[in-house]
Amino acid sequence: MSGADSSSLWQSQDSGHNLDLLIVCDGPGHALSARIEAALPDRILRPHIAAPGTAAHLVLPSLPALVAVAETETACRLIRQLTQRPSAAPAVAIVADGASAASMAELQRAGAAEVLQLGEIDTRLGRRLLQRVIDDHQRIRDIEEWRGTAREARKRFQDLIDQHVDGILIVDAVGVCVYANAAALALMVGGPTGLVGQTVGIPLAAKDTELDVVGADGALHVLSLRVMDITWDGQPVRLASLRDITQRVRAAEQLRLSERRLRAVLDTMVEGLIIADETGTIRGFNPAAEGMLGYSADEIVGKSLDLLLPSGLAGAHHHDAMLRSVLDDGGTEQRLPWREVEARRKDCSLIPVELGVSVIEGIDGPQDAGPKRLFVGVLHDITDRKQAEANVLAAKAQAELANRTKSEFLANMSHELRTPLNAIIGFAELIRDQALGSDAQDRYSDYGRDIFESGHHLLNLINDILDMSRIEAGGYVVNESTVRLGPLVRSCFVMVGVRARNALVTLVDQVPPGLPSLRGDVRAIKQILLNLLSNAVKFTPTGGRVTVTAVLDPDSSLRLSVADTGVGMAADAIPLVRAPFGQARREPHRLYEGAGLGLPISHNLAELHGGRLIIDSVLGQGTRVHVVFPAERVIHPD
Amino acid sequence: MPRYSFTLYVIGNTPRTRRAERQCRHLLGLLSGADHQLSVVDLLKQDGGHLQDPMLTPRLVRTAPQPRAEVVGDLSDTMSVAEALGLRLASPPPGMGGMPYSLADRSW
Repeated sequence: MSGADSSSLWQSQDSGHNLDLLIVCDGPGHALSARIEAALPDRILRPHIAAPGTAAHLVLPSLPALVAVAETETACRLIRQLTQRPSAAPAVAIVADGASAASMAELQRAGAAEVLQLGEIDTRLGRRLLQRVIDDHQRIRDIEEWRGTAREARKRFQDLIDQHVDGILIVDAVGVCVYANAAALALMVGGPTGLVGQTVGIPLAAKDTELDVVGADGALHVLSLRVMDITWDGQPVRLASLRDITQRVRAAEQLRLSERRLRAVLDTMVEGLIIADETGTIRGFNPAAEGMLGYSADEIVGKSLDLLLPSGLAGAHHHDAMLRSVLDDGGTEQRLPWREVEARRKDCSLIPVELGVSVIEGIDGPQDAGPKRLFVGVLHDITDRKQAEANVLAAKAQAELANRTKSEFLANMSHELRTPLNAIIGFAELIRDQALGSDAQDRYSDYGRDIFESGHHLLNLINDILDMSRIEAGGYVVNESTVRLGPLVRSCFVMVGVRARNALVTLVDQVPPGLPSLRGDVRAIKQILLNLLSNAVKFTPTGGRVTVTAVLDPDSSLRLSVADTGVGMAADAIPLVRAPFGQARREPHRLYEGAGLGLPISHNLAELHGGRLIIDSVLGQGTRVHVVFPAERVIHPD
Repeated sequence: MPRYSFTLYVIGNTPRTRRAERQCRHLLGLLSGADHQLSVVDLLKQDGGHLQDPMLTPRLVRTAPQPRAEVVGDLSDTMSVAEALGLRLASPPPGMGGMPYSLADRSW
């Protein structure tokens, strides 16, 4: 057989590297075949031994083998060829008994795993050796297969992290980077050799750890960091996974900023702001609304709007109707006109507010329920404005009342003035014309006295009016001096004495001796006392009594009181007599003469002294009028 | 008594910077009686040279005693930071029920 033949034959077996065993027989094959067959392990093969000079390959399910029979030289070449191939099957050379040691050594050198003499094949040793060759080969194949799998896995992992969209750094126990993927290199500036070998620090991640970095593009980036402990080339390392979240963070910061800005606006705006949803549930409540309505946002949010704007209050009906029309309409982005309503505070008081409502599309609420709308109500507290309006109205009413009162007074006054004037003119005419003849001197004297009294009455009236108008015009000057009440009361008693005696009214002086003096205008105080005394005498029926007392009150103010046993006044009449011209205005029967200016004048004079006038009266049970002078007007002897 | 020196590298005055600085001072406050100093370096205020390094921040470096030890992260997990930097804390921070301790995780 030629070497070329066997070689080509061999080379035709391209799947040869899958062989598990090559048996090369050195020598004539025929005689050997049966014995070889017998010697081979059962599970391996039942080889068909090829004719000399040929090779036969046996592909068996478990173990392909090739048996070739060749001369030593050819066998060596075959063995060399075979064992040089990757994953080559081991070759076993079988030589004739008594073959030369040199040829056996040559076969061994060529790469035969075992060289057996023919006689050894079917011995136990021979079988074991063959078996061992087969087992070794199997083990090697297993290892290689495992290595291939591992290599593949490693490659897959490497590909995975190489191509991973997140930046991945593998950092050793002292913080030096041992691997960085392409994404990591794109995220940050590396050294001249990239990131590997550079110190980045031991990555420590908690929940949502974020890092700053100057990116490869030179801009600032924010990265999220996750860390995993893994083993890398047998070393414990940390795998840091970095994701660029710059846009998300910037967007969140922007959102937070604008929310803060909006919050600041809502917190500082003067108008109250209430947000309610379609069910009337309050969703938002700003500090101004808190101040306006007395509720804190915490306690009112989630409650019903009815608490604040109960139906039935002023404007609520109209407002409800308007809201309902908006609700039914279903539109958004509407603005309802401003209107005035009353809002209820936490303490149940009502305040007038101006309410403007905008309807906006809300973002919360279940999606399936369709777009929810929110009502944004802006409240403007118009209490002050309302108060001012009320004040203006009251002032107007007051002015009108004063005007009417003055007119009424004027009408009465003209009557009051005309009556004595008529008497004066009438009687004077009688006297001038000597109408009763020249012998009626007594009658003329009486007329003269009547004229004199009427003139006096007229003078008193005019004095009162002048006093009143002077005080009201602020032109009354208080001449301060020391006023001793005892002598003052006595001198006033003298002045009203005649009238009191005529009316059979008793005057009682109960001013205690040793009472401190007052600092004030003696004329004014005398006028007050005279007014009160003459009123008391005037309104006290025959047999009655008028008593003057004076005491120091516990707060050191001095109280001068005039009490009578007269007709008294109903409680609702008291404010009337205090008002100027009150009597003149309200007494239809005009039982009592006078312009009704005595009490108002006294009141004003007391006020000029920092004091006040207190009227204490029951209808039919007499009247007590107290003039209270403040403590600073009392002069204590010391 | 060991004398510790630390450098905290940050980039700009970001919320992460402020938080890390807070965490850092909290951690150093827990150092068991050790003398320490901390310098904070804002890389944006340094000359460009620093930025040639791969600088992920916040990054806390123990510069003394040698050898250097460095960590990068938000420093919120005080125990991990102390462990990585080889620091012994005076007393275990309160609230350690097996959970990593961190300052109250207040959003800024």
